Amino acid sequence: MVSISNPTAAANAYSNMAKTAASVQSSPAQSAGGEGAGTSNFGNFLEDSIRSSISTIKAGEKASAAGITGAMDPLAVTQAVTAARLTLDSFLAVRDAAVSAYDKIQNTQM
Amino acid sequence: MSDALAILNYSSAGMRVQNERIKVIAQNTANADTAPTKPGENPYTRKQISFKSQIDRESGQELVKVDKITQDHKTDYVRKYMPGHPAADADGYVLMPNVTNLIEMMDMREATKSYQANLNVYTQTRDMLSKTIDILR
Repeated sequence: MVSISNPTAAANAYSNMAKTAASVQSSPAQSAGGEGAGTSNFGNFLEDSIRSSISTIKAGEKASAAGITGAMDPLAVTQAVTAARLTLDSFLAVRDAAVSAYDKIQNTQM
Repeated sequence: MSDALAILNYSSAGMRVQNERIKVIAQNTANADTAPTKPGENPYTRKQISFKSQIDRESGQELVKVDKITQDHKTDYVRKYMPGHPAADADGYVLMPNVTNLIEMMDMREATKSYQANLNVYTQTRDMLSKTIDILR
């Protein structure tokens, strides 16, 4: 974990993260692009994380249904439900933070 | 995120094998008095469980798994004098299982403690993750 103490460090951390996301998610042709390509890569990165969150949550739902009918052992149900809960919690926290940031920008006095 | 969930996987695997261990102990304890049905037959033989660490294909992590459940042929059966028993030999002795309840109980205690240790790791990791997510709020 990198501690972010000043705005420059924060900006560097953000650009590093965007670079990492780009190298993981995109083809070489895309990562060589300019700012526009970087934005779409970050979008892809977000989309992929949301997709994986949804699959974790779905697995949790399936496990809780199986737990009720007794088809799955309680330990596996607990594990799947915990993973789903934590994923949903982090997803909601990020969403709330993003929405409140958007709200702040929208309400800025011109 | 995925790192912390990986820790949860390790602990769950640990709890799962301890569950299996307790299952074997339950079978041994339940059959502690299971004599053979006729003379010359062997009674219930104590079962033993062993574990190994192996790569889990689904998660790609090295998790603890049950290696095998074997029969304990190194401990002798107990000869008990019960002349009226259908499995009694010519001298009136019946071979009884090689299960010692005291050993099984000690083993169960160890399995329970190990389960609790894994459960503690699980709970602590989950709490750490929850608190980290709370910072975002």
